[in-house]
Amino acid sequence: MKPMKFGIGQAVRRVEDVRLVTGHGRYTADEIPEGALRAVFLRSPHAHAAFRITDTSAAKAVPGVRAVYVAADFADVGDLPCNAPMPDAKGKVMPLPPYPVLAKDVVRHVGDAVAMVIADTAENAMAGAEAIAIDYQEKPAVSDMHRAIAAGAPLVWPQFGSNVAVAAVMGDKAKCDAVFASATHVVEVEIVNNRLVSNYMEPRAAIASFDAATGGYQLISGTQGVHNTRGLVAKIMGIEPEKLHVVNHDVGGGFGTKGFVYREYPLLLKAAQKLGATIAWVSDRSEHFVADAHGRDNLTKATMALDGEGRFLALKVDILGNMGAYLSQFAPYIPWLGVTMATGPYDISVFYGEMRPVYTNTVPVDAYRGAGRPEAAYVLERLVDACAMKLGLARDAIRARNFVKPSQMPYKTATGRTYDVGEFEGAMRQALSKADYAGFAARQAASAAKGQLRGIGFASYIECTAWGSGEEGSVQLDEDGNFTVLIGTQSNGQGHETAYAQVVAQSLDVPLERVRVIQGDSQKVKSGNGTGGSRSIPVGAAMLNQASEKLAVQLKELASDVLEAAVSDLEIIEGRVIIGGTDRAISFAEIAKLPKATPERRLAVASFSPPEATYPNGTHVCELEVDPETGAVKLLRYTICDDFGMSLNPLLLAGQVHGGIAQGIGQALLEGVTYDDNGQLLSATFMDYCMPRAEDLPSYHFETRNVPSITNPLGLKGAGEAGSIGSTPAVMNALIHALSARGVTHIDMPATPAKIFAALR
Amino acid sequence: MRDAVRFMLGDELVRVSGISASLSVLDWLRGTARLTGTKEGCNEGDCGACTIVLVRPRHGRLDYRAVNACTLLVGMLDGAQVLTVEHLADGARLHMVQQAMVDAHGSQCGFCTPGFVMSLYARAKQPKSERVDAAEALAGNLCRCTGYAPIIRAAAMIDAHEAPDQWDRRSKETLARLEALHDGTTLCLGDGDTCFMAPASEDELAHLLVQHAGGKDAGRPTLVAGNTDVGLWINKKLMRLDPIFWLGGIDSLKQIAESNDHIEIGAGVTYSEAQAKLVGLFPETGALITRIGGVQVRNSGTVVGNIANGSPIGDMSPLLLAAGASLGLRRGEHRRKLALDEFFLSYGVQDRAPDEFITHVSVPRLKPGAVLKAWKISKRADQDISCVMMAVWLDYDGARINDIRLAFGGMAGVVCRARACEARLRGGPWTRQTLAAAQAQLREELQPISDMRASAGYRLDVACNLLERLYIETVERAPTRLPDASLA
Ligand SMILES: Cc1cc2nc3c(=O)[nH]c(=O)nc-3n(C[C@H](O)[C@H](O)[C@H](O)COP(=O)(O)OP(=O)(O)OC[C@H]3O[C@@H](n4cnc5c(N)ncnc54)[C@H](O)[C@@H]3O)c2cc1C
Ligand code: FES
Ligand code: FES
Repeated sequence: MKPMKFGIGQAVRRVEDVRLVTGHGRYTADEIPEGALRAVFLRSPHAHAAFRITDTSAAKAVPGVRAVYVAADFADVGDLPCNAPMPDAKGKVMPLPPYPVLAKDVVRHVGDAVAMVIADTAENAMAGAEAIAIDYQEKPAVSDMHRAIAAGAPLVWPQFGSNVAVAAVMGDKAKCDAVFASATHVVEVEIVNNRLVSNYMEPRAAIASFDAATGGYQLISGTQGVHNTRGLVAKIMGIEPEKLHVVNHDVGGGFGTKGFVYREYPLLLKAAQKLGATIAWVSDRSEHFVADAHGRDNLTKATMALDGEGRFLALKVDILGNMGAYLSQFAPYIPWLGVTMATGPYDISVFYGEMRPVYTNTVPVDAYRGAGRPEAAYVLERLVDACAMKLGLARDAIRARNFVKPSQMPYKTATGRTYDVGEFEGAMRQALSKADYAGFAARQAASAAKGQLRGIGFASYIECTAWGSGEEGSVQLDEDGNFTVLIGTQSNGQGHETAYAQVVAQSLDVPLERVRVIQGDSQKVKSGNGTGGSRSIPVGAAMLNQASEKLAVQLKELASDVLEAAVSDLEIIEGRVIIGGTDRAISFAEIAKLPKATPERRLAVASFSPPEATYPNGTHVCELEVDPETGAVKLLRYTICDDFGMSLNPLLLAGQVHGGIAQGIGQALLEGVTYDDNGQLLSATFMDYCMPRAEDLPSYHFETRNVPSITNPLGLKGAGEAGSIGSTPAVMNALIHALSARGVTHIDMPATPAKIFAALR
Repeated sequence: MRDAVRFMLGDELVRVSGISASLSVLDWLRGTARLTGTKEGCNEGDCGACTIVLVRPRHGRLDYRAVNACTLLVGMLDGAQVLTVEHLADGARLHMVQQAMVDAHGSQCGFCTPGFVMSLYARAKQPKSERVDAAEALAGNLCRCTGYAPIIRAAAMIDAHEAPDQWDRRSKETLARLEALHDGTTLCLGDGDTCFMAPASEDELAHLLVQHAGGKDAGRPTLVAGNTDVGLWINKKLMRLDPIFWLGGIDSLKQIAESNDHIEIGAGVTYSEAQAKLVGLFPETGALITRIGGVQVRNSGTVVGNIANGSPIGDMSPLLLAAGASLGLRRGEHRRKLALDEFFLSYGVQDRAPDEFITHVSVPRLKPGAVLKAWKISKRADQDISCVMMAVWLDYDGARINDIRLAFGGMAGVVCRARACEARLRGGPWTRQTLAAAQAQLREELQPISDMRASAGYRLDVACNLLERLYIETVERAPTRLPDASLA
């Protein structure tokens, strides 16, 4: 591809940034119009209770309160959907529990919403909520999965007779058992994947309004795709999607969890219609902890069968996935997605996996950055290290021996996926050499002299991105000679306005300021599938590249008449169409004014659906020190070598990787949701839910070793989640390596000083 | 008395009156002034998304401080200049700090960005010699997107290119305007329902407190210094406080007085202001003192406020308890002095009448041969609550312990001394044997609670280990570095 000044591959600055660094970003809560009413939700303080709202008159009498709504007021509103019910071994699909927009009769987790109060100010709405008379009869609750699957456990959904929703399986158990029976070595690990809270810095917010004249609704909110939101909310409300206009302005982080349809959206819209008013709701931080989906929370047993040389013969995984009290949009599919990636970058021909979603009286769990793939990579890379330890093999050697080789590509995994390309050993060797793996012993000795335990660990991951649905979008030459892109993906901070403008600049050679990217408006943009699964660049950019190339041809055609030259003699240089080798040219602004330049000829539409996922992969290397006296961990070096197929903008790419690693390090060492045995959430503030700060993180060395994907024309692989996938196993393997000097071979995340201290004793 | 708070918002002089006493600066900026660049990420002082910069005259020049707008009350702006993220660009030209954030790719979703910009801006306004390390300056700001590395890079770019900005060019004029606001009158701000008072002198405060506490229908007065603790009662516990007495208008409480044998830190002195003096007194506690909260919390929060709050996990209390500090208290015309030991009565209860206030804390200097050491054990390096804190004052002559004071935080309902353990150690030879006996005594004497941060057993183990560390550092002399309790 020809390098263009602002085009693909250039580390150009972001066009979003001027508004963001000056405080002119427009987030939902900044857009609340004067005079809008405010909504507050009354939420359950109990994990499990029967309840009755006995009186709302006092609440309605609070000055400023306009309405108090309970479940019965929304009899015509449907349930929140779960779109991913899983089948059992016989193909029988699991039953779905109801997920009403407001709880009826029973609350099932702390934070379950029971009423909505609308008032002129948030303070008055809060006062109204406090005045609601409500009678709770507490029931036994269960928050821990081990307890939830034990006999006699309190049932979240008594009608199902069990907290286990289904047992989904993959692979041939008998065949797998046979391989295990004859294997030379069998290595097993039991791994906890701790529950996380997304904690985007912008708490969710929404502004709902209704136009009685047209019967149309409008929802302004920060989501991960206006069209998905529109479709689902309209379905819940029982209205035509065309009647709902969804708008996103700037979105302050999403990480998967902002993409779901939450109960507040249909409720606010319904209330807006009932009251004929604009209603705004802004979640506060504590509410985020109980009202937005959590992430992760798996217990996995994984077993590897090996031959005498350390070759992986078969893999078995058994996953318990905490669903929380209700099934969020994709909940049961998330651990399953992990099952489909269970064999990772290794050539393991026999596989058996079992996945059981479990109900507990906790906040629902759903996709969070990586969604199933971090869980899978974490289990596998911990297991591979355990295998190396058991067999006395070097950690790089056992990986090299078992990687799928480039010569085996395309490679069909035992879980049914097809890896198109990848050079896993190449990435591992490059990462290890950059990290000076060979020189570790000397550094370890230096640490030991100071009484510190030093460890180095790494993880080779592969993940899948950009599978499934496609994108249709367009590029248009505007009358003023600038360009407008319409696209249905949704930036939550990834910098799509810049990335997409670069794609346009690649074909049309204009500075990025001349490309306007329109996203986040379900009326202006016809269709879209939003952002998630790292799809926006591999799918969106690939589509836009086609549209831009198409438009370039169309503009040359328009120019060829004026310039009296054949299209094949024309080139696009610096915003003009020029006859190659001459100075005869016409600018885009002039083309736009040509009588023949009808709107249709100035517009190019394209669509692209990926035939198969892309498979980013790479190796993360982490080096750290543990203070044995306090259990404190100090991260010293962090090295990454990734294969993202192609780097659209190295600056944006590094940003995605760094951010993902920070979240992975957070999970490994600091973060974790704590529930007590009664289902009370103990970590519901930043003080109690500990996230990494600037001083907690090392500086990173990141480089790419790209092998272009063949499933999209640009060779791209998604990069939004990889950082969070490679990092947790790299950090934990390094930690266990450090602690192994003292005989510690296992520790779970988050490895807090207290836990490490205990493990050392 | 004045009924309007007066401050400069950017270049504009504003007067605000008729507002609720507990209205936060964040809500006022976003709701009333419609400056929505300042964000709410937590409303409890933890994330820095609401960081603004307060400019006040100090020693004849302008002093720029990053503070959290969510835990600041509007009345506390009296006499200051407020700069928000909207005030930095000069017309269409980005401020150097903003340009560095763009160049370093320091923003992704952008929601945390205004807060980081303001923290970086305040840091850039400190004289180069006083500028802290970027990671430390940003410890009060959370970002979930970038992994911080690019923002740290932006800070380095800022350090490398410096030029006066539009506010520097106007500094003389601003200084004069701000000094003119300092009129020595008491501010009484309210909406009829609630009242925020900023007395202009200690006498006035003493007088008003007694008057209010005695009044029939007056509410129980709440003293506010930096509002970093009280702000959370307002924002999170939704407490309605009336009347509020803010100490920030009283110049005499902002002094640090030094004499040969002690220093006195006034009740209005913030951590940031006291930091250098305290580190000078007790060099070995520097790492701890510079790690309380983040910069924003240290710029607002006071040393005395930390003690007065009486929290069992407050960091200053164990330190000053071990140091042998005492408090100066005043009620009406009556002044008394109280050893810090005697101030903490039980969980949530201190020896202070509702109409009494602390004027200062008096901290003795170390005598030759004595050391003061402190360790805080928490999950994370910065801005984290300690699970265990130990502070120790030790007078030791190389073989024998002449005297010792051991103070703990997080080990009981109040910050406490381990007196029996001290007695074990006092007068004894400082040996491994004495250490073991002291550890056993400690296990008997302390009964910490278990909570989600740490179990009782862990806390006890850590406390015993810290005692051992004391032994190693004072006898075996290795390692000499201060331990990092967390990730660092
Ligand atoms: C994000 C964050 C991080 C924090 N980190 C730490 C930390 O690491 N370590 C730590 O110890 N603390 C920490 N704190 C707590 C807090 O910052 C400190 O306790 C601070 O010192 C309180 O001082 P202040 O001036 O803000 O007190 P205020 O909130 O103004 O007052 C605190 C209490 O003291 C009373 N009071 C204040 N002045 C007087 C007086 N002169 N006489 C009598 N009573 C008075 C008030 O009525 C109130 O009860 C943190 C707080 C936040 C928000
Ligand atoms: S909003 Fe988080 S510190 Fe103020
Ligand atoms: S850029 Fe999103 S939180 Fe910092």
